[in-house]
Amino acid sequence: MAVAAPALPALVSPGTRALRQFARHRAAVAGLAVLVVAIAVSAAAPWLAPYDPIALDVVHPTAAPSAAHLLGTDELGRDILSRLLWGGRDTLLITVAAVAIAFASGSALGIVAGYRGGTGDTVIMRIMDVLLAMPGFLLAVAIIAALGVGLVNVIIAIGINSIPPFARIARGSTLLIRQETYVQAARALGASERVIMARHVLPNILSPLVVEATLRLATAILTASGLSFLGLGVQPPTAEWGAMLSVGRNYITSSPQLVIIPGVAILVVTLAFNMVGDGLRDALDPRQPA
Amino acid sequence: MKRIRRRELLKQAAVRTGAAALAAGAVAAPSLLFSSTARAASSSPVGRDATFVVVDGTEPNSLDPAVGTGPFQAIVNAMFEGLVQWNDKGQIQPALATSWTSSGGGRIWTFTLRSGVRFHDGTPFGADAVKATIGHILDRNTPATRRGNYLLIKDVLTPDEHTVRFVTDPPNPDFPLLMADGSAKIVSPAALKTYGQDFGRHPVGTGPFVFEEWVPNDHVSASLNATYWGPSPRVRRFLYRPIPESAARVVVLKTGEADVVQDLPPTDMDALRRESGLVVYATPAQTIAELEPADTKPPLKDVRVRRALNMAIDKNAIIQGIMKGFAKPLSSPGIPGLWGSFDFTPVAYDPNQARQLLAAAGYGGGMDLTINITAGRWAGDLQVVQAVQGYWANLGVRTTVHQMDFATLLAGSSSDPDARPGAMTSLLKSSPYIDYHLYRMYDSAATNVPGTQQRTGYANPEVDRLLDEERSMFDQAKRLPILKHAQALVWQDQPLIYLFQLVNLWGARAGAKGFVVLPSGDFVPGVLRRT
Amino acid sequence: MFRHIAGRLAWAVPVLLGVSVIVFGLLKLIPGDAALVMAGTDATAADVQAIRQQLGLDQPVYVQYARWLGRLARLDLGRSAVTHRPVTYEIASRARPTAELAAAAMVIAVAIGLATGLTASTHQHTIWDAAASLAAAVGVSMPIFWLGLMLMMVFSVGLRWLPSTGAGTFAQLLLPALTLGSASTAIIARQARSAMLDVLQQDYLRTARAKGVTRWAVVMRHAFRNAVIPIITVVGLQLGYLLSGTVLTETVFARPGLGRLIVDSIRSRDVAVVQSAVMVLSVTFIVVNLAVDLLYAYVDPRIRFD
Repeated sequence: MAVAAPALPALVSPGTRALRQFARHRAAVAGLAVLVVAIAVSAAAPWLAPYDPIALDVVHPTAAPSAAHLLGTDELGRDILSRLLWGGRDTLLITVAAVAIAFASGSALGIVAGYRGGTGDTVIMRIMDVLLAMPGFLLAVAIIAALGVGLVNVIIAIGINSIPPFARIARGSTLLIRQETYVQAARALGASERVIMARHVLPNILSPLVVEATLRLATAILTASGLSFLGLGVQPPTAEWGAMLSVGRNYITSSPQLVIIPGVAILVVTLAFNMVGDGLRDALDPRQPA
Repeated sequence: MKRIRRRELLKQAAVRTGAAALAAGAVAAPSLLFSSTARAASSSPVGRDATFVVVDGTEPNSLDPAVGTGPFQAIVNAMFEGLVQWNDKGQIQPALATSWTSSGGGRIWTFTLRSGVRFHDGTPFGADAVKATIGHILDRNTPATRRGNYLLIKDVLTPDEHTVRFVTDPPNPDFPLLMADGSAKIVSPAALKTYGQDFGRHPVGTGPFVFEEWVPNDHVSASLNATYWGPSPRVRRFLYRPIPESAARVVVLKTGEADVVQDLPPTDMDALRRESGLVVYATPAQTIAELEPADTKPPLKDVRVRRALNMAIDKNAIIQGIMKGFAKPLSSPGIPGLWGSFDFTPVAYDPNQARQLLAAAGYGGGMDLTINITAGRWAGDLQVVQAVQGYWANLGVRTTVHQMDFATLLAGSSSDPDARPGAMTSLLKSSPYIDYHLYRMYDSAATNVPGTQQRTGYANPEVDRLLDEERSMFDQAKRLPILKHAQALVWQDQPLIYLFQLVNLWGARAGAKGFVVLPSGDFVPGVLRRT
Repeated sequence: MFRHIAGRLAWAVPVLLGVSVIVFGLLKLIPGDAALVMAGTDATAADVQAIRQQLGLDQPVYVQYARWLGRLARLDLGRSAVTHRPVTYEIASRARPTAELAAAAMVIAVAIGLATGLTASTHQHTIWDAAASLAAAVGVSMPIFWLGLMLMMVFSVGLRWLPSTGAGTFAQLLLPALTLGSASTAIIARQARSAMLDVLQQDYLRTARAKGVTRWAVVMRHAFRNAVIPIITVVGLQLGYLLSGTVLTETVFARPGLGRLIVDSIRSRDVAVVQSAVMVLSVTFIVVNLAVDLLYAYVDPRIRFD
């Protein structure tokens, strides 16, 4: 876990301490393992997937698992395992890209607001208030309504939707460390505001932001798959987990595995993100209750 | 003066549709339908007291019979009646008219109307109502999806309150059949005047049920018409629910939340047959599924492109794999089973030849197409369209599937083919008789009429000439060769992307009785009962 | 106290305005011309122009916004492009199933969540606590539309205990409410557990126990009372989740509510309905959170906001 250099020397560095703390959290370690596997196999989907995820075999739909198709085939005879792997790519891509956007812009806004204060602070935080005042998933739905469906727009919708918590956390933490000696010292030495915010503030408020990012990834997966389920997200034939589930819904009475398999995939990865997030919070941010 | 007696006409109709249906094995359905089933009725968890619930997949675009034609006919037929109606034997029988005759060389059709009938709003039913209904269909401001078929009506005369006289050009032997169509149901002239273009939201007819409310995407309900002229249904309310997800339709059939469910998914039929407490049917349908392009501009203007696109789809694989055999391959531009529909050499699946054709047409590098679809019109539709998308990808054709609601879909497919963005529309066509079908689908006088559903703009002067000739002939035997010739020409042109002929898949709660599902897919309430 | 309330109300006004700007602005971006949708198939260019004028679509955007806001204040939301009925009617006729659903989900979440959280906190380090933690972790990670489908398969199709669709009866409410409330149940359980653990470790409770106060009395009378504030915070925030969750839940269970109205209207590009329905749900969320804020001040007089 990337944790910044400490302000004060200690016998054991906080990074190591945090690592140890995290390692004691068995659920978090298990979650991390699941995530590593999920990300690795999704990234390697082009090499691992036995079939083209959109190659049809119309004559053999909803086949039971076999040696040829380990998880069977879907309603159009496509290999479910291949779709699950490729779908993991799209699902994780959406999630990570959306949270990355929110992390970067939210933190930047929060640090600027917290460090500079004044009118800028008020304006930024009032906008965040407004965004937070709209029920989250509803805001994403409204953004999709405006931009139209599709993978990129889903990333944008979830990205915008996730900015406010990062901005709030960044601002709060910045306010706390603004008065710290090392920040004051840097300022006295004539460092520019931008340098101070980037080099001194950001690294020292990273922990809570990382915790929030991990937990947000879980929310983002659920939002993305929810949008696809409503037909407002990634469109068929793309193998995104929510889209697979949405189509499989038409076969739930005859071939429930078409709903169960992508649903379990979403559940497992979301659970893993949540576990890792909880573990990180315990490890990095001992003030917050578990 | 030539007179056709009702009995003769009935016989004709019976020969045309009935015989075909019999041949296809339709007899089983109606006889089964009215026999009491030995299976135990499932205990319904929902207290629906005396409400009869019918479920299909499509939210109505309108409840105006002239405008709202689609797989929600159940509710329209519960509230409206035509002059005549089809029965389950493929014959037409009296409804709001008690008898009818033709005169003037077949140019004049006189209907004697039933007396003592009132619309739900109290307006007495009479000749002026019939005249107003036809005027409404022909009004350019009404988006009447089947207006093309009514263009032969030149005048509607009302010699007295109970007589209505249609003057047609050309003379047409099928005219009474047209009056049996779902779009020809008689509407209240007073309500038409009151609501204008909003009539489709405030339907007023003469049927056994009176419109109650329409909650969009949830239900349309109608309550018992206490002053109905015919035998009264034995339920208090009639409710139509659109449920676009086919599996959800299976669920409400199983749980007893619905009395009749239409458009069941083929994948569930075997399991549903074994289920107790419900009965499922697979009956022949006069319905074909196809993709309708704009034939007036490139790339679909080129017959080679249309042929290539048809050829590139393995329709038999789709029928076996997705439709589980509950569909029939189509080798006719007509509707197999209808009198006068002919089969031709099938367009066999041949991706290589399709590729060559496309290259010859100048699209060797592929092209972009869009298919507009309202998912849930029939079970499996979205999957079939995705399969088509996959087959076309083999030709280098990049297809975008665009899902939309039914009203938006129709707005697109009924707009000027020259002006609309080049999208095909996934539609169903169900026609009661062959001339009706061929004329509206392929006669240039009907393929580009504003507001009509199938606005392909297809035009072939020779087909026009042949259709004009056959549709005014009263000697049925002489019509056949001309019908065959016209269809052969159309089949060469391949103006549509033909998918297959559907089979009606529907189910009923064991206790639901007193209705018929016709080969047209129409739901006809008789003396509805639920036990 | 009065100043506090006035302050919170003063805060709500700009937020509401901000939300209205977002809703209006976003839906201005919707592709397709509202006038075209309304005019229908065979409209001439002149017809469309007339409707555009009638809807004020020929005015500058800020004028349109101001007019819309004015109409919003008068609850005159225009007409649906699809049904041609007043939008207020469309929304009012759908509000009840959604309100019932959100309220029932909230009741389930608070009841089960609190019970689970309290049990876990008083049985720390037991199998109960571990099971509750696991259930809570799964609960927050479950896609609710998936849970809904699974519940429907088990309780409607399999056991035939409950209907799968519709709204109006208690039986029809049960499955959707369980589905929608699941994640909030988990979050409330977690919050209740940790808040209770914080309080139970404090000295005065040890003292109370040492003085022989019974266990149940300690938990309920002393600990719970002091743990209630962080719990209320979470409950208030869950409402936003529940309101937007109705979109998914109502789709799964074919419930005729506001959430489904929004999705259906997006599909048919019925902008006036989408705008108004999103606005109604957002305003509800803001108002309830305001109420929760005020409730704090009532429950705990020490709390004062800046």
